[in-house]
Amino acid sequence: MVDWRLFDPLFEYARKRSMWIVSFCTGCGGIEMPPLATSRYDFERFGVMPNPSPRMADLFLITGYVTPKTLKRIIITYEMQPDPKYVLAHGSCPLNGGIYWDGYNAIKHLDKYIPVDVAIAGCMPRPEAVMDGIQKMMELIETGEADGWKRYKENYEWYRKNQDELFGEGWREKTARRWIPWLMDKKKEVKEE
Amino acid sequence: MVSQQELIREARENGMELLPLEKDTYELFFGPQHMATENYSLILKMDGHRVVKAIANVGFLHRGFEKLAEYRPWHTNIALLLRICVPEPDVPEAIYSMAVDEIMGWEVPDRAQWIRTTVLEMARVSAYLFWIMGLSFKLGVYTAGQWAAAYRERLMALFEQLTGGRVYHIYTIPGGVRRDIPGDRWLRELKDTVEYIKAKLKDFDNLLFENYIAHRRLEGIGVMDKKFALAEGVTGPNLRATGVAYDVRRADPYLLYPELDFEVPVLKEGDALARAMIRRFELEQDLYILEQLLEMGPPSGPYKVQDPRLKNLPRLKVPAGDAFAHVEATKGDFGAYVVSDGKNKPYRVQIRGPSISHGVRVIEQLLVGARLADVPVILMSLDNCPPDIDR
Amino acid sequence: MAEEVKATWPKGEEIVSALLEKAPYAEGSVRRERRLEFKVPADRIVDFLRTAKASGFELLLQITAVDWPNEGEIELVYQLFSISHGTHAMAKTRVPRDDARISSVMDIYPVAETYERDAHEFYKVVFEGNPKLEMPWILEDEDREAGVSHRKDFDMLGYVKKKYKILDRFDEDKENYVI
Repeated sequence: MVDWRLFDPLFEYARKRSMWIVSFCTGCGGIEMPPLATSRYDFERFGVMPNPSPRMADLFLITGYVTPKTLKRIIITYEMQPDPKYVLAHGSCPLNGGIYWDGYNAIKHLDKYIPVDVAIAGCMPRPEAVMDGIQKMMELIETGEADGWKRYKENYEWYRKNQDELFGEGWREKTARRWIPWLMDKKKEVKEE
Repeated sequence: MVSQQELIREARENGMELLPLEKDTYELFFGPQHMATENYSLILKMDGHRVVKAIANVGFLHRGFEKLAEYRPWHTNIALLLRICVPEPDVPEAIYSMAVDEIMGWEVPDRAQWIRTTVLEMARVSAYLFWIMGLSFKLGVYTAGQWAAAYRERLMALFEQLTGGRVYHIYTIPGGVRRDIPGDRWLRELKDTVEYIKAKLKDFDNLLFENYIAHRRLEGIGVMDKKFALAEGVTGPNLRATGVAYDVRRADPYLLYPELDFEVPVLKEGDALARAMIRRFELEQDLYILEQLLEMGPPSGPYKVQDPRLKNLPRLKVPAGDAFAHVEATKGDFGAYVVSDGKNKPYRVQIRGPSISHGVRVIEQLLVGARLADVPVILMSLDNCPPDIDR
Repeated sequence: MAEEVKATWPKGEEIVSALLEKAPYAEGSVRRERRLEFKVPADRIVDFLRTAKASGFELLLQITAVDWPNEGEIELVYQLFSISHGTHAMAKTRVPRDDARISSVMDIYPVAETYERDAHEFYKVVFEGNPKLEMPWILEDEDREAGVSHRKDFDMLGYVKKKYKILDRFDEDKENYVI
């Protein structure tokens, strides 16, 4: 039996150099993603690459404000990602609401619903700031401090309680079923059967 | 072998519903976690790879701007409302400021008008470059997208010198603009950039707009006719691709546009290719307009209205009244309706984003019968911008 | 300055008088160049918009609802644009606030369906004849149940306080917040 913990430093080193991001550009920060991914600020040199599927992604960029409707999808996508997974919150809005501090439809503290490893302040953060955040994330991964995914597992009840308080009990099923009556050609069929 | 009936019964007993709901079709939730939709979701009912029914699910970006604007002073709203249109944030600034100017009865000085026109045109060019990037990524012509993103960076740098912000400028304010042009050097750099991008248009043609593969990919999908487009309230390049020469800059001229010489390109086909080509011609026209503006040069004079009320912006009170202002954005007719009741905060602000007309009903109808692979291309050819719809 | 703004626009006067001849129940005026304004009673709005579309107002840009709680009314502003005349026009109508009902104009301008869904969601105006009013639009079900609206009597700060549980940042005694 091999003790795989011996190889952890090697794994962490490999992880920090190949972070694939979920291509879920929530909010306004999505506009800075193309410049970051293309020639001027090319973040592929850090091993960061956009990836369509959450099943193969390590890094989740929350680029900007989060509305409750999006947060439901963010939580589902986050739970679909395999371990280890890291969250980088981008801009002032996920931290404290930012300019929408009194808005009825913007999440004020993202950290209550999913664990955030690195947060970048500013509205909107410049690409340099985002790259700095990515480098900070790489440092944290190497030292093993980016443990948001472990915190999420350990404190799942607390996160779940906050989510349920915001959306109401059984929100996953409700969201999944919400559109069924409108997809059917005859509305009655669902109710009768 | 368990029959389908038994499976369905068993699922019901356990409180589940088995999809598909109907025979031979299946449901596909397209977005918001998808590269093509960006915070916009389509619920598709598919038969094989053809779309049978599409429903637009919007609201992922709803922040309630129209309610929030009622809680903030007049000038603070500029920093709020520009977040409605992320690719060209100067447009909401400009329409809001124009509407407030009209209620106040302010005549904006010449220099401010010149700066506003230039900023709007720069925003149009950068939004078109952003759109070229999006389209080429959807079509798989990645080189053109990389170029477009790189050329857009030049405009971003110019915006930064002018306004201090890269993406959000918060520059146009009621009564003029926030600060003056940094100097002649900025004008020279803008001129160089315009010439540079103009010279590169040929490359985009070779790679994307005259590309046989791109033509085959875009031709004949998402076809609208003139009557349908007018009834559905489609505006902008999407309407011009069906043969209606409606451009707000001509039909309802504002700022310096009556003095400028430009063409309104019109095509008749109404498919995705026509929409793409219209945008390409408009990019050329916008560069031409910028050249004319630079040749004209900024008129001398103040860059905002000389009014003592502008000195104390937080206490600015706007007389009771209402006004509608709209400009031509790259997506279409972008309008703002502002109502004031004489206080230091707006009574009601309504922003009319162009995507609310072509992003909901039109997409639902155009997608019927389309192939799944064409869905992102049709979305991109309409230039759907979800924050316009959600606000 | 105010007199200058009110300067007449002869072509606009012609358009208004031609339209009012066909629709005598409405009132019309010219605000300035390329801005017309009509006031229509709520029960005749369908007839008016049909007449307007026949006389050249092809585009319906938006339906704006404005809440006037002191007068107990909700104002609906139909923003029209005429490409052939090159002018914008507002058709204003008022419905009572408690029982905000008006017939849908979907038959004339199909795009009105979307605008009506928007006005229904945020101002609780019922558009009779629109089949998609109950369809999910921008707000989530729990927000709809909690009564989120853009009407003036919706207590936004109280709602935010309750929903997001951030008591530290709000002071109940304060009326104005410096942002």
